[in-house]
Amino acid sequence: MTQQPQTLLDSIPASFDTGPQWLRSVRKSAAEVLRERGLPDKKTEEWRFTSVRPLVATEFARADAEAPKLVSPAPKGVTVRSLRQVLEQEPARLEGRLALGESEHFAALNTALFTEGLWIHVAAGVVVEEPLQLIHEPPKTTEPGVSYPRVLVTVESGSEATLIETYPGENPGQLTNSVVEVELGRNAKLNHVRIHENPGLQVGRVEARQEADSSYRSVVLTLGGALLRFDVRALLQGQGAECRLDGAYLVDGNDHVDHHTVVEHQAPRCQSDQTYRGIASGRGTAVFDGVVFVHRGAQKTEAHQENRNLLLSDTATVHTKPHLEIDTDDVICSHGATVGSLDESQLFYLRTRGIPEELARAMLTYAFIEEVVDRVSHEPTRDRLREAVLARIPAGEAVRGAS
Amino acid sequence: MSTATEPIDEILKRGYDAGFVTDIEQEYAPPGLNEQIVAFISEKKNEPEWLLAWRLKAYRHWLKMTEPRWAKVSYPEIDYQDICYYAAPKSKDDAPKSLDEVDPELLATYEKLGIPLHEREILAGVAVDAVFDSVSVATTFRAKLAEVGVIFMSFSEAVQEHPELVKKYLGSVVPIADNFFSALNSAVFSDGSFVYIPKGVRCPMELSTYFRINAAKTGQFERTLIVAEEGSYVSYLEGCTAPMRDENQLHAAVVELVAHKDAQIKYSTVQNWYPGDENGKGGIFNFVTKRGLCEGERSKISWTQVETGSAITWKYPSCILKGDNSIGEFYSVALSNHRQQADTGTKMIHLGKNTRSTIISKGISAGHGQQTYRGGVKIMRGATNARNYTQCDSLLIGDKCGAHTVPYVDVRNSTSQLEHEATTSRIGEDQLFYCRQRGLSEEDAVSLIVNGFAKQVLKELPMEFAVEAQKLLGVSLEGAVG
Repeated sequence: MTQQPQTLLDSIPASFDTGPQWLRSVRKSAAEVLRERGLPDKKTEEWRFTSVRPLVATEFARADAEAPKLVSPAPKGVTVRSLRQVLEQEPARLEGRLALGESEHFAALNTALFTEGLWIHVAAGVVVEEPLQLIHEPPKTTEPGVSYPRVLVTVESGSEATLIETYPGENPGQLTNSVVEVELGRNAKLNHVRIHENPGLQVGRVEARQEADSSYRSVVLTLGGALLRFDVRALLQGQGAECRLDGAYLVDGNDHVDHHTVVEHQAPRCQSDQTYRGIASGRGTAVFDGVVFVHRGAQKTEAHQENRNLLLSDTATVHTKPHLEIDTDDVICSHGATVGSLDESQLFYLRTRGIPEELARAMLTYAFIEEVVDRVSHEPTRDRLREAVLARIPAGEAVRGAS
Repeated sequence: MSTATEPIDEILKRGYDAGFVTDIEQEYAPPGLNEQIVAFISEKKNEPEWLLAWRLKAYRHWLKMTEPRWAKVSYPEIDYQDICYYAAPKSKDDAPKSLDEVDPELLATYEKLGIPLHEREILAGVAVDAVFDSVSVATTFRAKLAEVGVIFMSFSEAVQEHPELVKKYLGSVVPIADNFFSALNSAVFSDGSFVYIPKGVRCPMELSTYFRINAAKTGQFERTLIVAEEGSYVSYLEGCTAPMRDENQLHAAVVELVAHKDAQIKYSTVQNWYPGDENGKGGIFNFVTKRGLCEGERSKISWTQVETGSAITWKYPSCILKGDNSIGEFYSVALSNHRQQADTGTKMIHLGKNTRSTIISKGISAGHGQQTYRGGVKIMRGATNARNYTQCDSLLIGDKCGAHTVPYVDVRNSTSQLEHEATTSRIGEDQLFYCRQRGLSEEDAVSLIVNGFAKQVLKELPMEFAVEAQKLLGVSLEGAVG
């Protein structure tokens, strides 16, 4: 791909002439939506607190890396194929599965422009013990570049798998605009861990479409970012489906991270639970926005949502907006949000036990998001995350030594 | 459950008891809005030049603004040129000096509503500044209040008698261009109440205004301004009901409160405007801007509201906590039945140190009602040790209603603490069963449970209102379980 650097909107082609007909029309509608709406500004409710102005005018070179690869070979029952290849050889198999053409701005941009990606397919009735690990290496160029990773994960009926995605990177000029779609068949289970290590520009979206009795569990860990926006959306379409969306984010310096969750209860007897924790220090800004929609007819819904934030400096800012939109009556729904500093009485307790103040603070700070880190069931990943979090907490290394 | 729902359906269809029309000649401004109309209103009220200039400034701002559409309510386009912006009872020129001189038909109207002024005067010890459409027609207890220096009069009178106070405070909390509806109000406001509590005075009685919208096709644009000087206290009651109408009526009021050092203002509302019939026809559009400024140290503003009426409610009584150690409170019960839509909540803006705010909101949805709590809590950089607690609970009755909770939280100070919690559930079947088992009718059981649900807010109301509010909740909801 050798193209002149262009602004994001200018990079949308006037027409789409390659690929299967259905994909062309999905891309065409995505392009139309974008041309009509442009990129979000401060007036766009979902982007009130996150300005993408630095992205609008920047001319990015198209810098797609190769298709992401699994760290280890795919286990039995799992097929991993390049999206480009499937689109060339058996395009009908993907029809209706690569969607989001008319969704919000950046996912539409990815839909219009992605050229390569992965399709991870877990056959029916397969329980995959080892996690599938995916690393999205950014391109190594230095000038501003943009890449559009795209992943489709299909877990067929009765199967179980764990996917661990990592977005590493060191180059703050690179923009990653990723889309991951997850399809869960009846009674299928996916544990999805997503780690944002990139300190640069990232926009990402995960959409999980769930059939009856399926389970989607997501743990997102964001270790800062100059500008990061992550959206996860779970569609509970079949009876008895459940989802758990958990996440933790740390901001420091001039970081700005923005996490949005959406749970759509479209069928009866579904359950959802969300726990997001944030630590804001330096001049960082952390935004959380979570919505639970309970559609008419989705009786016996149980939905809970919690967002807690620790504000460690007077120059940091936390915005949180957990909301519920409920259109039926037989539900149990709750949400809660808190913003505050470390609990003085807990601090005092630790100090009376002879623990130095700095260490006590670090312990309590780590403990604040440990619950989320502990939700990662794969031990080596959990240990790695623990290290990564401790490395970003003031005096964190002392906690490591103390425990 | 089909047999059990029949009487319930009947109750749900119950008519609006306060629906009747009083036939009194009105003096109208022609429908429509332009600079001439604004000038007409100002002239009718014999206003000073600066106020006319202020109104025209607001009008010109309003022309440039667009109607907000972010609230979760839907209603037909409002034709602002089809509304009469001024209506006053004919008898205005020979204004009554006492109740005896008040148009007996007016008195009869209040009678039907169960607020007989003369009885209330004696029994409740409440000074009633009754607003019939746009011009105040009866003010009582003026003398008693004057003794302690409290000024309580209609807004137009205040403009004549205390122009310096009005000029100083009008628009100081809700600026002209604050929002579309407040700009409209600023341009065309007809009348309202003015309250001034001098330094160190504890207002000897609860001040109360009853509003009524009466003339078809006239919007009511009330303007209320309450100023509490250092160390003073006032409790203000606002209640309203409107007669049955088929056409939507626009109501865009502005309420401004200013609390100086150590002053306290308690503002209570029972709102029961006509909600429209069960198909959503008619009903009041209630777009209200209410805001209080805790100007001085240790000042306190407390909003309590019971919202059971109106087809559309758009209302966010707010507090700006500017003085150190100031306190803001918001207690709300909102109920939407049939096709009512309510988007209501509050905004607490913490500027001063050690400022505290409490928000308790209880929403009840039944029938096809739509209910949204929309609240904002902002803790700015300088608000060291600020504290906020928010609780919003929703109760759902029936599977066709909706309850939505949209809190916005912005925190920029690390020493502050903020908690928000919300729950949504339907009326407990086991609670209902328990009550029914004890021989309570389904209606009584629901009323009991709903009143229990709202108790935390109802107990904040002054006695006079608490009774009315409980009755209102009961009437609006009895047996709404199906």
